[in-house]
Amino acid sequence: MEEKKVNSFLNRLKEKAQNQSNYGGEIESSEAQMNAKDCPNCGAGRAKQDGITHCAYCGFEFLSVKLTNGVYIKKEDNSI
Amino acid sequence: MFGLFNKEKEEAFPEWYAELQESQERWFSFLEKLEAKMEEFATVAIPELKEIMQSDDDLYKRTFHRVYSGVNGQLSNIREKARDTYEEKIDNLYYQLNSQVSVLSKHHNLLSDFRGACSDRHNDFDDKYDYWRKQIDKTQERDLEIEYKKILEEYETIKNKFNCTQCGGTIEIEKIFLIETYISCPYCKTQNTFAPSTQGRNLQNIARDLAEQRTAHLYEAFEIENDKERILYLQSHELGLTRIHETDPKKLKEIQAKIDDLEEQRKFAIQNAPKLRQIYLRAMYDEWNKITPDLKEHNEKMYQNQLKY
Amino acid sequence: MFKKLFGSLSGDNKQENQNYEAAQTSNDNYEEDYDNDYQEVEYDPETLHGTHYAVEDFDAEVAERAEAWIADERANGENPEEKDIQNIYFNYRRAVYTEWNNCDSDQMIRFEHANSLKYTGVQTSGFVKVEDNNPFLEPVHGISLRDYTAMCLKISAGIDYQEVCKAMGIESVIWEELNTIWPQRMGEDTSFTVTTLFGQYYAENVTLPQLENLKAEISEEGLANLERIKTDRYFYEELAGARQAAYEYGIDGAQWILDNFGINLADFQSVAMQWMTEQNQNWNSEDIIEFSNYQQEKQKEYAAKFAEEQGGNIADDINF
Repeated sequence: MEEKKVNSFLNRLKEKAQNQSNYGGEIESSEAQMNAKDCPNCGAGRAKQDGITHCAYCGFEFLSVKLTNGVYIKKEDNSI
Repeated sequence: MFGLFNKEKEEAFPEWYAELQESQERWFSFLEKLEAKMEEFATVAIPELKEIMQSDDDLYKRTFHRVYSGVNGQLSNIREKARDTYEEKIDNLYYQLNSQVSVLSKHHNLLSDFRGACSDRHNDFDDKYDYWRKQIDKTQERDLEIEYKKILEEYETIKNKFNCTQCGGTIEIEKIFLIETYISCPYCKTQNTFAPSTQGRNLQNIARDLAEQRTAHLYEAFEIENDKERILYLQSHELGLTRIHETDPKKLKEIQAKIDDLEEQRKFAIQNAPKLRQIYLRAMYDEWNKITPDLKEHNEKMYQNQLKY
Repeated sequence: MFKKLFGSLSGDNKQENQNYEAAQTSNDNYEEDYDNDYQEVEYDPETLHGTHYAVEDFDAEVAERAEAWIADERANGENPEEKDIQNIYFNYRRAVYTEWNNCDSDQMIRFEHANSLKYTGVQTSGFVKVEDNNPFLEPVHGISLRDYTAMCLKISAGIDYQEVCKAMGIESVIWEELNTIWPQRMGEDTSFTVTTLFGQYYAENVTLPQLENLKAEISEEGLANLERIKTDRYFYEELAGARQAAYEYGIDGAQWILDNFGINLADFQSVAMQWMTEQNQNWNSEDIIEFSNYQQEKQKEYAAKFAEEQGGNIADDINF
């Protein structure tokens, strides 16, 4: 009799845990991706030597912040 | 109620002793049943937990954690039940009688023995609780070497698979990136955004634990050395006690020599333990930096902070 | 995502201080002894030192007593370590403060909180001292800690991080760097300034003009409950207790609060931080004990309800 109680408790616990949604939604597993964004203003590509914050051709602002040295980003990445 | 002060000279055992005995028996039996239940539950839960850990696809293993919390919740519930019952049924009785039975009474030792026995049995119960909690904690262990291997393998498959969206040239992914980053095409210099896979991002989450797993033997060595101080102290103390009734000067000298030796060892352990800790920490951080070299700068600062404590 | 951060805000960051702080459960009151010449002590609003003495004199008195004790120890062959020395100073500070201000221990604790950075090197929420040019507080890619907190609040409230990035004029690459570097700084800063300040901003529910339009969905009931936990401490403690009980029964507490009361995690944590900060600023041990007991009571009540849904606890049939 007692064994049943322990098992049934555990099963109910498991079921409830599996059915509950994770807070904030499920995290979808995604593959590695590579994308490039052209300038939405003039259609030009973004080239490294021009920095990543502004479009070298039309000056469109991709990033409205001033970059500092980060994990991979360096402050040299600021467009002039 | 107990009429103690006239009768105690004649009686072998006072009236209240029967109640004491019964309470003690019931307490022991109660704890035994609780222990059996803990064991029964844990024995069934542990393999289930291990299975859920494997099958939970979530990046943070949240289904596993929910079940894990629920299992521990039941154990806590049992431990609380023991504590509450100790207070209500054992402590209460003890204090009630203690206020009525003089400490000088020859029967008072029955009362203190009762309390001692029940308290010791409670400690044994707590030890069993700790044991099962530890077993349950172990289900959290993941074979991180396997997960790390998968990440490395995935990297090998993707590192040359991407082409520049502008000119079509191959962009080689030079290392395992932990977060999104800008990579420029080596040919046309166009800035591309590379987003690592969910699995690749997970490397950050498992790195420390993996480093700790790999250096666990060094941590153990430190722990053993750290515990030595207390152990040696107690040994020394017990030896000291044997001197009290010893009159033979030769034996006394021997005992003193042993105590001195234990003290030497204890002093050594005290200054050696922090050294072993540093050896462990340095090795662990070195492993960590091998796994996620991009975090080295940050990790070195954390290492320095840890040394201070 | 922020569970680790909140762990350090609410309790774990005090681990180094555990050598020093004994649980202050009773409020020792010395005021009765001085009934006849009792004069109301005025306290400096920032340092909480009595205005009838100079702080330098206070520090000098503490140092004098502490060094005398330390010299004594050395004379007896003991060698106090750094930790012991700090403990000695800590205890003398308490003694001198209580003597010179003739106050109860609640006031003494408030004083300790106001000066935690100066005397122990660790910040306390509600009393954060921010210096200019603190390298830990330098903006990361132009985003300050306050800005970062505002973004975190929106995201924890359920708004898509891409939307938040757009509103801030940045791309997700920058966000991921922010979300790596700010937590790193929190870990590196041994004074816990970054962590504590983040907590304070979170409690204040900071926002930015560019994020104003991003509103998390909240039901009418949720809004009403949110208002209530902000103003009714008992109601807040009840939900906090219920949340704890939920975890013990295998339920995600944050999701449970959202499902049953319409309050999202960000808002709940923000209110939790508000109550904690207020508690630090107005330290009152009686209140603290009362609320702690109340929360525990509620936790037990909800635990019983959850247990019933599970068919009871596994040890229900075992009795004394």
